[in-house]
Parts: sequence; structure tokens; C-alpha cells
Amino acid sequence: MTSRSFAFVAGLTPALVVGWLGFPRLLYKRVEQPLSFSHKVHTGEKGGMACADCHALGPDGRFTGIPRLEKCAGCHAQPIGTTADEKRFVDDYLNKGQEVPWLVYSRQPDNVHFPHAVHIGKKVPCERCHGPHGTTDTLRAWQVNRISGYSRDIWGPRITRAFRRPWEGMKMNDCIRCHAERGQSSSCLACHK
Amino acid sequence: MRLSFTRRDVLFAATGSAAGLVLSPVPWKLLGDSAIWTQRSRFAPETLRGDITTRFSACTLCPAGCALRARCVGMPAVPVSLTGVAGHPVTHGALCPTGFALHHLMRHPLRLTGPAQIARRKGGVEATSRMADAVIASVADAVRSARTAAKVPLAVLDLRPGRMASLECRRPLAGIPGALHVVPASREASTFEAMRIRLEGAEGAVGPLGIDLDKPRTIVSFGAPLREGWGTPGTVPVLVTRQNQGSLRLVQIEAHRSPTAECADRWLPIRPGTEAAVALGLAHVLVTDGLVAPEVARRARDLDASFRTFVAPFEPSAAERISGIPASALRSLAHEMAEGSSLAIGSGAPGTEPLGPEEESAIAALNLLLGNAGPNGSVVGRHELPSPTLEGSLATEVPLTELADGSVGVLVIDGMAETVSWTLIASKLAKTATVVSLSPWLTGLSLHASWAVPSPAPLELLAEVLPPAGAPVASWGLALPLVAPPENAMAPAVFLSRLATALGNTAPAPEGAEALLKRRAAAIVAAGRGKVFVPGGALMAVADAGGPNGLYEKLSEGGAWIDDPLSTPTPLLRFTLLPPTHQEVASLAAVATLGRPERQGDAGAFLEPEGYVGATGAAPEPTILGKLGRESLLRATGAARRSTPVAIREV
Amino acid sequence: MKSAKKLVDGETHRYGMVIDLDRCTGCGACMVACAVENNVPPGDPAANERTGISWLRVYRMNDGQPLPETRTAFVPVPCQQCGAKTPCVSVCPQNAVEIDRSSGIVGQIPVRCLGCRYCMAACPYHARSFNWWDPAWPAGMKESLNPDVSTRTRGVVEKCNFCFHRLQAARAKAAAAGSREESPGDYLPACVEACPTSAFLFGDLDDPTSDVAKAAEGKGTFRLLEKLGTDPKVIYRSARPWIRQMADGALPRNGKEEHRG
Repeated sequence: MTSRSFAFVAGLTPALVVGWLGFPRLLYKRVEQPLSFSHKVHTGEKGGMACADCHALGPDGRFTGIPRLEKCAGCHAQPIGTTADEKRFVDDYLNKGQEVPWLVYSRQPDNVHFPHAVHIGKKVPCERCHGPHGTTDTLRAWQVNRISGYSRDIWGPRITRAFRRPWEGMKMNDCIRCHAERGQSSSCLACHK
Repeated sequence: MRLSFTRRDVLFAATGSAAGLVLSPVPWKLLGDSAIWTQRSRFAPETLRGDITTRFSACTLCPAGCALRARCVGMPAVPVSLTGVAGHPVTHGALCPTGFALHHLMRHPLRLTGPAQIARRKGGVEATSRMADAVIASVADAVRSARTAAKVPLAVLDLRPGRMASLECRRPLAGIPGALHVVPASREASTFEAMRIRLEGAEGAVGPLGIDLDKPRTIVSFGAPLREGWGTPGTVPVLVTRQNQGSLRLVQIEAHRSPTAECADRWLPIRPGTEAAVALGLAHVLVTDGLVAPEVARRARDLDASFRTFVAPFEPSAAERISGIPASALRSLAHEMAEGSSLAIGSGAPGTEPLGPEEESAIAALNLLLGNAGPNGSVVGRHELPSPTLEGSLATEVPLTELADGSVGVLVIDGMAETVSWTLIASKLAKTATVVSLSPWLTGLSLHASWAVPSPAPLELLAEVLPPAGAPVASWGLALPLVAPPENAMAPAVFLSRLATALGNTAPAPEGAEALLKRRAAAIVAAGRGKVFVPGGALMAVADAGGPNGLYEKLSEGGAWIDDPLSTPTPLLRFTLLPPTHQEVASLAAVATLGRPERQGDAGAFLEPEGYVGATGAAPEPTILGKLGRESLLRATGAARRSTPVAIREV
Repeated sequence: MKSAKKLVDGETHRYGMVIDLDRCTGCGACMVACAVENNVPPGDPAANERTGISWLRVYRMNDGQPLPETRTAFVPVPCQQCGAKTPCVSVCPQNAVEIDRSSGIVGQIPVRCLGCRYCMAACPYHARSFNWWDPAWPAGMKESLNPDVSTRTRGVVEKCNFCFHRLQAARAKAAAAGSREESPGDYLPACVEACPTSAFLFGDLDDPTSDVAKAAEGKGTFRLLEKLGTDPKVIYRSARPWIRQMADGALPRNGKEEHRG
């Protein structure tokens, strides 16, 4: 190897390492959720609940998102289990009447209008966009893009966005692709407010 | 191999790094993300997220008290938009432009969020934040020293009397020696009293007078902002429909081309301040051409003698000389009024002072002569709003005009300026008087105060909605608080109670608005009259509302109580006309001949006050209303609005 | 007036409004309700009638007679939602303006806009506004922004879209109830809802049973600058002939006109 190509590679390699491995870590800030929460316990055999039992549509068709305290209090007015986080939930939030500041992985930017009612009604299962989130046992750290302020789930977990599974990535392109596959409107106003 | 780096190697390494970065996501992702960053909240704020709820309240900015449906977001709920309540029996779902931005007013830059000392400096006023206790102690000191220095040591001017909250303010005052509860003179009452008109039904004197806008075929308005929501914005659709059908002609007699004058079927521009001359000119035609309603002519035997003498100088030609309206137009207008059902109403135009009692009397005389206040007329009586009796002693209520000049030591102003001018208030103050304002904003009368203790703004406090001015039947509604008031804001009753304590009186703690309003609900249920409106539902009888608590609940969900019309819809008219030598009549004659003295400009040009005050009194204008003026020219702000054809001709 | 035929393929609705100018009192409630609903910021202190932002402007016009016989009329002008030759769509280099096929509404996507203002020059109705300043709300007022409409930054164009977010809400409500079609009563733009005198009628112009379609065919209807062939979906109605003449610029201009734009 000539010293020239050696120098070239010596410059290239760290840049690639920094670019592919270091940069994503630097770009995204990791924030832990306020409490640990097991979807698995709720949706598994023990809980036996469906997504819509907690994440429901309101009477006006508006998606209510993460349930509020009173929904949780329906079962957890007193700790049912033995975990420390459940006790913390009851002591720090429920008894103080303070909502849990959950961080939403799939939060879309302010200019996006995503009506859950329209999509669920057309037989798009929750898993199509949210993946196996309903069966996870712990909540992974929420990652936020330091520049754009978007949740990492919008871009998707892989920085290349290559070979991604259907639910990995919630960018506009992902929406458009699904709309095109199903012959749905791709008008700007259909999704932007 | 000897390791040696040449400059060339370093360059190659740098090229390699650059190539590596280009082949990595760094530049591409940075480019995309920074593009997004430029669109983000740093430059344009993000909206709140949360549950959307609908809540009901009412706008208490002006006495119209329009019912509101508020769309709120988040928890605690913040109102994000307001609309009227469809089908509401009083407001018909209408709101004025200010009403749509009422939720912005709580955050207005002129909002006072806590007690303050107000100092007048060159070029404006300055408010310095003070502790509530310190303000109350200073005011108490002022009251103490005023006990010897002034005839009335403490007076509380209630700009919107008749509310339960007014009663609650009179309780702590009762314990303070010499303290008075002062109210502005009721214009309706004074007008008709000046003319010695009383409507009497089978049960005796009827309550306040209202106007049935469905009846008149011709409305002659002396500057009343009819198409701008006079009384309540809910009257506008009624008028528009009737005008378009051709069943109503609106004649606007006004100095400047107001929005109502623009929408009127005929606009008669007059010289400013000559409304009384026009009214008496019309009366002259009615009397001399024999157009007086037969019933009135029969009852008023002295009409031919004394009234004819009184209006004799106001021949149409004389009225033309004074006011600028052609005599022929005046004559034909009088004939038109006498032909069918008609109505004359007077009121100051928005942004101007209201008409004086003399002018109102002259306008009321027209209604009297035409029989509009008699059977089948459009001036109707209505029941009083049922009121509970309160135990315990209350401070005496005195009309402002009856206070001796220079007699008030400490004046507390409860509310915003609506109809009372500072000139009148100032004439009642002693030389060293202290003025305390309880207005939520540093505007209007509070600019004259030395202390301000802000009360909660509309949408921040529980209040009641009384019948709007000119309503043909009584009504009642509730204005529920939608947001919490600023921590240091204080309801007037609380302030007065604390002031009484500071003065060494053990005032009872305020009962609280909810308990008081429930008493009114009980009084209404006990009276048994009227219907209850619930949004989206049919009117139900009061008896079916579920008692006082049921009524209160329905009203807090956007409902309203609306009274039945008087059981004797055709009250008997009893009146006497005052002789021309009477003092009030003499002053009317003087005003009619000369115009209101303060309105006479030397050069003949007439300047309207700046701004569009409208029905909302002295509350600040929401900043978004700039869309109507500066940003669209819809509300002309230039000379076009403030000068009149007559004035221009004279200049 | 004949309703123009559908010009965009696949349109399922053609939302439009009929504005009765004889009922408009020029109070401005629609403008304020519109600004509040769509998070339009209060104007910068330096803003005037040309540089301020209004999605809906009420113009005052008169018949040119001398005072005091002058007749005044008020003309609310939102985006006319042109159905054909849509001037703004054809000039936009960014595809930030397009006709939504499901509703016929002309949409403007501010985040896509690069601020060249071709569309403003092209629009014959002055229905578009440019953000000359950063949006600024008085302290604490940001909380009272409508969550259904995103705010815009300086440097982009914005305009009326018939409160499209309300159509979205109506569709979501219908979808939750298992229907694909929004029910007509659920979708009214803010100005229509706000008008105290009910001067606005709103609905699907292609639905022959709707009040708005019937009113659009009624007597005394006209559209602004109809000769341009833009096929607006905002239809005006007045019994007064001089107003109808004004709509096509047929009235002689005499310098006394109060309307500017």
C-alpha cells in the first residue's frame, strides 16, 4: 500500500466510523420515560386487554392518545403488583392528581394531521405503524433529534432507512407509500394542517 | 518502513475524511434536519396538545352578556375559540367581533395581574406593583382621614348595579359609617321620569321598559348603533331580515356616517349635538298636522295648549337651520312615522358620549305622541328579574347624580366605564380624594385612579347575565369561569370585606358567587314564570327544570332563563306633560336651540373621539381586532369617519 | 347562474359558499373568528392593509353617489377556491398549492412554500397573504392557539382553505361512527359559523339537495371577475344591481371608491 492510499484510508475510516456510528448517537438525545411500563403485562394473558381498551377514539372521532390518569386509576387506584414504579405511579402521580409526562415515540410534527379514526376504520391494524409496541415488556428510551426536535421514530431506528420493516419510520414518504399502495389520496391537505 | 508524513499525505487523509463524511449520513441528515429546524417553534409557536372539550360561559364585557360556547384544549382546559350559542333566545347565537377574541383579553398587554399604585407621568400612566395588604392599608388610612375632611368618606361606584355581586358589595359597606353604594342613574328610568311617563298595568306600575323590535315599521334612530349590536348583537339579524323583507325602514339621524348609518335605509346627517332640535321639529309636525295618536290626544287635554306652545319655535324650517336636515325631509319623516307603527330611539353613537337626559326626553316625547308606548306600541313593559331578599343590613344605594359636588373622600370604582363620564365622577370628588379602581385592565376610568386592585376578567369569574338594555322580556344567564384568575386578582366583594376589616369592622366573609346565584335561581323558580332554554333542546317550563339546583345546572351548561311577557301586554298609559316653564323643559329648549355646549366647535368642524369604543365600554380592544382596522380598512380610522358632510360644508 | 361542470377528475365533493351581500352588515365577526380559528397572528405594528395577514377580508364599497345618498355594501372575500385555470396552482414552482380532489378546496401548504409570492401576483382576488414578520402573539397568548391548525413562519404565503381542518374533524367523526362520508352539518368553516346574520351558506355545490346548491342557482347570484373563467366556488348574492355590476369591474372608477386591496 502506498503511503498515499494509506493516508486516504486513514482519513476515510475514522470519518466513516464517526459518520455512521458516532453521529447518530450525537444527533439523538436519549431521554428515559418517567416510569417503566409493560405493555406485555397488560396485553398478555394476565391482562388480556386490547389496544383500544386504553388508546381509544373519543366520541368526536378524535384519538385520545395515551390514556389519562383516571383511566389508569380504574384499575390502579391502589398498587396491584409489587413493582417500585407502580408504587411511584400511585404516590407521585395518581395521589397528587398529576398526569404522567409520557414521551410519545410516534409524535408527529405540529403540521401533520393524522386521524386515527379514518385509518383504523379502513382496517389498518395498529401494528402496521406501531409494530410490536403493544407486546414490549419495557419502555425503551425516547430519542429526540437535537436539531429538528422530532422523535427518532419518525426517521426510523436505522440511520440508513434501508431494509426497514413496515412500521420502522413515520416520515412523509412512509405515509405516501402506504397511501399509494392502497390507492388513497396523496393531496397535501389530506395530511397537513 | 520509516513512517513519514508529507504534506501530500495529510491532504490525502483530509480528502479521505471528506469522502468518508460524504459517504456517511452526516451532511445529508444535517441538511434535512436543519431545514426542519427553520420551521420549528423557535420561529412559529407550537400549539397545545390535549383533549378537546366544549364548555359554556357568557361574555360579561358589556351588559349584553352574550352566551358563549368555548372550545377548550388540554387540562386544565384553555379556551382556544369562542362562538355564540345557536338558538339562544336572547342572543340568537350572535357575537360581536370582540366576543370572538374575548379569551385574548385576559392576556392583553394592558391587563393588571395584581394590586398596583398608579402614577400619572408625562405621556402616560405608570403602574407599580404593590402588595394587596399595603394597598388596603393605604386606602383604609385615606378613608379614616376622609371622615373629617369629606362628607362621604367612602363611596363605591358600581358601574353595573342590580347584580347579586352588587348586593354582596353592599354588605361589608353597611358596617362602615358614612359609606355609600353609588350607582349610575338608570337611563331608561330617568328618561321616562323626565317625561313623567308611567306605564301602568292591572297590577300597578310595570317594571323596566323594553322595545319589541318586531313591531315598528319605521325606526327613527338618533345615533343608536342599531346595526352594530345595540342592546345585544342578537338584535342585528332581526333587523336585517326585516329590512330585507321590506317590512322595516331604518332612518338614521346621526352626525357621522357610522356603520349603522351605512346600513340604514336613509341616513339624515345632522350637525353634531342637534338631536333634540330634530326631535322637537318632528314633534312640531306631529302636533300641527294632527298626527298625534288619537288615544294620546284624548288623554292629554293640555297637549294643544302647553305642548303646542313649547314646540312652536321648532318649526321644520327652524329645525333645518339648527340641525341641517331639510324641512321637507323632516315633514315627510314625521308623516311616515305617524302612518304605521313606528319607534324613535336615541343613544350616543359608539365612541361618543351618550345623549343627555333632555335629548332623550325629546326623543321619548315622539314615542309618547305617536302612541308607541301605549297599547300595541313597540315600547313595552317587562317583569322585573326576580331577586331574593338578603338578610342583614346593606349599605344605602344612591344615584351618582344625587351626591353633592366635592363630597366624596375615597371613591372605589367597581367595573369598567360604560356610561359614566369621568367629568361627572370628578365633579363629585373632594379636593384630596383617593380613587381606587377594581377594573381588570389599566384603561378607561382606572387611568384616573391612584390605586388599582384588579378584579378577575370576564371568563375568569362566576357572574350572572342580567337582561340586556331594551330587552322586551327579562332573562337570566350564567357566565362560568373558564380559566383561573391571576393569583393576585381580587373580587370586589373580597376587597371591600378586607377594607372593612382594616377599618376595624367585622365584616361577614363574602358568601361567594355560587351561593348567591343559587339564591337568584331559587327566586326565579319561586316566581314560576318563564321558560328555560338548553342548547340543542326545546324550551321547557321553569317547573320542569328540577328546582333551583336543576335550573342552576342547566344555566351552567349554556342554558338561559327567559321570562314570559307581561300578562297585560297592553299597559295603560298614564302621563302628564310638564309645562314649558318647568326647569327640565327649559333646559331641553336650551339644548335644542343651541346644541350641547361642549360639542360646539369654533371652526364648525367636529372631531369624533379617537377609537371605536362600541358596546364594550372602556375594556381594551383585543389585538386581533387590528384585522378590522389597520389591516383591512373595514373600520375606517381616517378622517372619513370623523368628519361629517355638514361639518365639511361649514369648514 | 349555471354551476360549472366538474373540472377535476375524481372530485367527490365541491364545497363552496354562497354569501348574501344583502345580509352582510360589515361587522367583521367573520374576520376575527377566522383569525382566531386559523392562528393568524395579530398584525405587526408596522402592518397595514397590504402587508397584514387576513384569510378573509371584508371590503367596503359604495355606489359612487354623493353623500348622504351613498349606498354602501360589504363584500367578504375569502379565497374564491377557483375550480378552473386556478391561477395560484399553475404558477407555484414548489407544488405548495394544489386542488384537493376530495373536496375541491385549493390547499396551500406553508411548510412547502418558499415565499416567492408568484401566487400572490397571480391571484386576481387578493386572497393571499405573505408573512412579512415572524408571527408574534402577546405573552401568554400562545396557549390559546387552535391545536388543529399549525402556525406559520415568516417568509411563507398563507390563505383560506375553507377551514379544512374542520372537514378533517368531520371525516374523523364520521369514520368513528363507521361511515365514509362526512355528514354535511358537521363541516362549517369558522366564518360561516360566526356570522351573526347568517349571510353565509356553506355546503357541497354538487349535491343538488343542499341549500347552498339551490341558493347558488337562485336569483341575483354572481361571482367575482367571472369573465376570467376561474370558476370560483364562492358565489355572491344580492338584490341590488349596482353590486352585481361592481363584481365584474363594470362600474366606472371615479376615485371616490373606498375599496383598496
